Amino acid sequence: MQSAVQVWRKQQIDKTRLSQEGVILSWTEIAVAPPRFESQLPYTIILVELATGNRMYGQLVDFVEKDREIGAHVISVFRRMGDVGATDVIEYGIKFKPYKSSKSSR
Amino acid sequence: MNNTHSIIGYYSTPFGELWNKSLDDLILEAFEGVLKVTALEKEDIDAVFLGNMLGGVVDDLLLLSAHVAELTGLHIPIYRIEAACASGGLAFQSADEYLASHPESTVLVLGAEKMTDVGAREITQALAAAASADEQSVGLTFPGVYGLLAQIYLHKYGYTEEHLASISVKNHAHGVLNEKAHFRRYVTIDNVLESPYVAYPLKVLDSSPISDGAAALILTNKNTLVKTHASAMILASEIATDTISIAKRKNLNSLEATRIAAEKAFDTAHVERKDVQLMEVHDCFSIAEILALEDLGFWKKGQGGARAREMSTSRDSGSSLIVNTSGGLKAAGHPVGGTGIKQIGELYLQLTGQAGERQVKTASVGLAHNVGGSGGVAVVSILGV
Repeated sequence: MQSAVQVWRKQQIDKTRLSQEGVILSWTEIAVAPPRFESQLPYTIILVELATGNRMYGQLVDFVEKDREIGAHVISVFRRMGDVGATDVIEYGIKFKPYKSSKSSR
Repeated sequence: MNNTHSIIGYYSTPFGELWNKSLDDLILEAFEGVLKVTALEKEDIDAVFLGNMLGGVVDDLLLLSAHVAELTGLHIPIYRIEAACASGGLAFQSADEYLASHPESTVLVLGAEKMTDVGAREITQALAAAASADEQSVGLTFPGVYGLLAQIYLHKYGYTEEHLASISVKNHAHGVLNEKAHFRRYVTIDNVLESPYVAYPLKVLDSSPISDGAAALILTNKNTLVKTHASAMILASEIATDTISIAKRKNLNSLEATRIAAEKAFDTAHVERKDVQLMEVHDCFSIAEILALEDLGFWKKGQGGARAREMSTSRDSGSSLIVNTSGGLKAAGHPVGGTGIKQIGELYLQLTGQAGERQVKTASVGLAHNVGGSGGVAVVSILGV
């Protein structure tokens, strides 16, 4: 995201994506990133299937190695995204952290 | 009237880090080169199709039609086609469509890309423009998207990074014989496994390089030109599309656009998979060649890892199907817009016996498979002699 209005538009959607439980469908650890994400390297991106059936991408944060596997449970949280760009807008959005689901045996 | 569309000539610049060449230089070299090898004049060309992805992003160059007009002094229709890494393939497919509605015509199809004018982080950002907004906004890169697909495949079918590495070993071995290739050296499984990660589980040596380069073809439906040139027939060239985000797809262990384009192409061409002896497939990452062979219908879903490990499509395998004689995107290089044209050009050279040191024996049907993004566009073309 670059401009304030783009970030604002995205946050209209992100508002509805908070505290969603889901399962990791796949993960990757990014080692080469665009400039806006460079300070966070290396970081993990997961593809999540939410309990609603929808799928989302997001960074996995606050995890230890064993949490980062296909089938593991996660929950969406509100976090700061990439570094500020030329517009100086600080962007917040959705990331995921490990979560012990009440329905799961994990 | 002749309903057959034929390729009558091909020229490619070297692929690699060509610091002394601009995008315009590359376009002009390919344009003049293909006219020279076909002994045609620019006045013989009725239209130009140009595949290019990043001109507007890396070099701030748009309206490339007018760039080509200025470089060549032509006033004919010039179409610029953008479909990320499938820009070349789609330019070819569009040129084939043009010939279908323009009898007695000759067109020049050119793919070109200038990628090394910026650094790795900037080109990573530019290529990420071929990912969806959702993918980009979380910091998911283009290799990252293929990393997600690779993880799903390895996990589902019980393969390892070593299975993926076999693809790069094979394609590098093929590339050694290609005098225009970006890399002409052998790599071993250990070299691949020891190279640094780009996006887990994909490493530098699982990934096609950042290359400059341009390639051009002449297509015609004029009988007189076909008779006087070494020619290959276009039996089919088909495109299919899919969602830009992999998150929106039902299946995450295949690229549906490849599957659909292949079905259409085999229907149109009236050939069967067993008739194909040569393929140039889109190995932007090692996993992509495995998915391609499965989705094109040559390997059963889930067997690709094992088949890759056996090197069953290597030129030394004695197999009836050889894949990526050019070295693929991995070793020949991947100047994005140029790749789809190079794939067709390689088949043309092989089918007409002009492939020199890397010539394979008796091939009469070849298939090219070019993918844009993570499978948002796929073009499958079949040539025959």
